[in-house]
Amino acid sequence: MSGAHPFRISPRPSDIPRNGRPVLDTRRGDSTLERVDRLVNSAPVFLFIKGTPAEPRCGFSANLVRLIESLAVPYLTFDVLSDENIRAAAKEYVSWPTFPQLYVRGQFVGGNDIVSELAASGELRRLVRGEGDE
Amino acid sequence: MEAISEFRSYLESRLPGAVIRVRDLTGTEDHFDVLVASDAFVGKGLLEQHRMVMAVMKNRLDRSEVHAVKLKTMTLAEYELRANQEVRT
Repeated sequence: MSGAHPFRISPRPSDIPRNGRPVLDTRRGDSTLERVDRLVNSAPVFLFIKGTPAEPRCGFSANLVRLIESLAVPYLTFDVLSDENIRAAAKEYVSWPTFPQLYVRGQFVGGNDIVSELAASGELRRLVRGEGDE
Repeated sequence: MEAISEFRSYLESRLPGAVIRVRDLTGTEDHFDVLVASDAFVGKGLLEQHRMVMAVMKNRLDRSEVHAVKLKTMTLAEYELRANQEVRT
């Protein structure tokens, strides 16, 4: 992960926790789907992955993290291997059977293959940074 | 090789008219590289194209017969264009 120097797009640094760190206490009383909904909206760029950015437990998750890191934007992740309920609910939330999953501003973008294609075409950068970039 | 051809036949039966290629990524017959070219994808976004194929593969993934799939989708026109240009991944 060294070499990435994310800049902050948030008004206050405290709004954006360290990259890759899960923010939320997912053990609040809400339904699991509500917890998933809150997670994916917890940052403009959010990933469900297996493992952590520093220690991905799956090659596809590692690749997705690498692609997002290369954009130098703040992002958050949640390790689906750490919570079986969240893992199941996240599949249900977008009717997508696998991980990793990328969400941008709460919208599901896709898994590793889709994101890799979008990255190769430059579309991922536009999507993540928002239109009218630079 | 048996798992590959079985998986391919399964996909072909569920995605009629599609060009389907399956490669074994790891030699363990459970990590596949799948290419699907179909005119059913015309006018659909990448996410929806993948969803259509994922829906077909869902039970295989759920039963863990197939552990992971690297998926590439395109229309038949795009496939032919690629074949002509010999741009292969």
